[in-house]
Amino acid sequence: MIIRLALIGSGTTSDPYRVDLPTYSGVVTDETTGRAFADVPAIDVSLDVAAFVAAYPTYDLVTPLPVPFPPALANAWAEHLARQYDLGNARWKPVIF
Amino acid sequence: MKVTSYAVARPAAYDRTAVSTFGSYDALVGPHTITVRFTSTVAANRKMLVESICIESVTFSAATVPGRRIMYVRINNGTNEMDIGRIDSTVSATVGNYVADIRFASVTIYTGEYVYGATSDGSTGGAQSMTLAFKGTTFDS
Repeated sequence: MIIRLALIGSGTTSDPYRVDLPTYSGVVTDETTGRAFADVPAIDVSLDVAAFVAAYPTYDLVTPLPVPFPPALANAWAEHLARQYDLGNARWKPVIF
Repeated sequence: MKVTSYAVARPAAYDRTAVSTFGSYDALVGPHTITVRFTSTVAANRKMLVESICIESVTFSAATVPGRRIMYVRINNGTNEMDIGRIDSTVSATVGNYVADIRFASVTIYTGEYVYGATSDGSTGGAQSMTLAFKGTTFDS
């Protein structure tokens, strides 16, 4: 599932640009807008997040979302990832942006 | 006396809920700083055997000032990391110039560890066709 996400990092060796997810592929970025497209495994995306992505499709790395990604949904996604990987903490907090 | 063996062979890794795992990036891209293009993290009670790596770059259009191009696939355990494939060279000004690091690997990574691939191009102007990928098998510990 292609999702547009907030880009994190600074592009340095110790802090490369990336998205805040445990598993993704095919990242395309726009450092100016701070956005990136990433291909995320469907199993890592909770149903409510998938519904948000479907409701607000994005076609470029510039146009802002019509509504901000709700913090409650962001928290729920982080918890979904924590359960999915079961690594002892919610270390990923991706934001659709 | 009846002798019974309690030894039951453990299934091979590829018979322990094994799934193919891929990460890839394939794009025509201009100069950029270090950017992670894919990541794959091993979940609890799983392991991953990283089996093959492909890193390729072709000069699509010449840079005004050729710079350093770095592309790598790396494993990380949260503390340390190492390259398992890498291109690190000055971008060629010759359109069509091809460089690659394609290899088979046999690197096992464990729960919480991850494999990732990143690219950068420190040139001014120009564009590179960059391909970066790995294939592994993830299975029960």
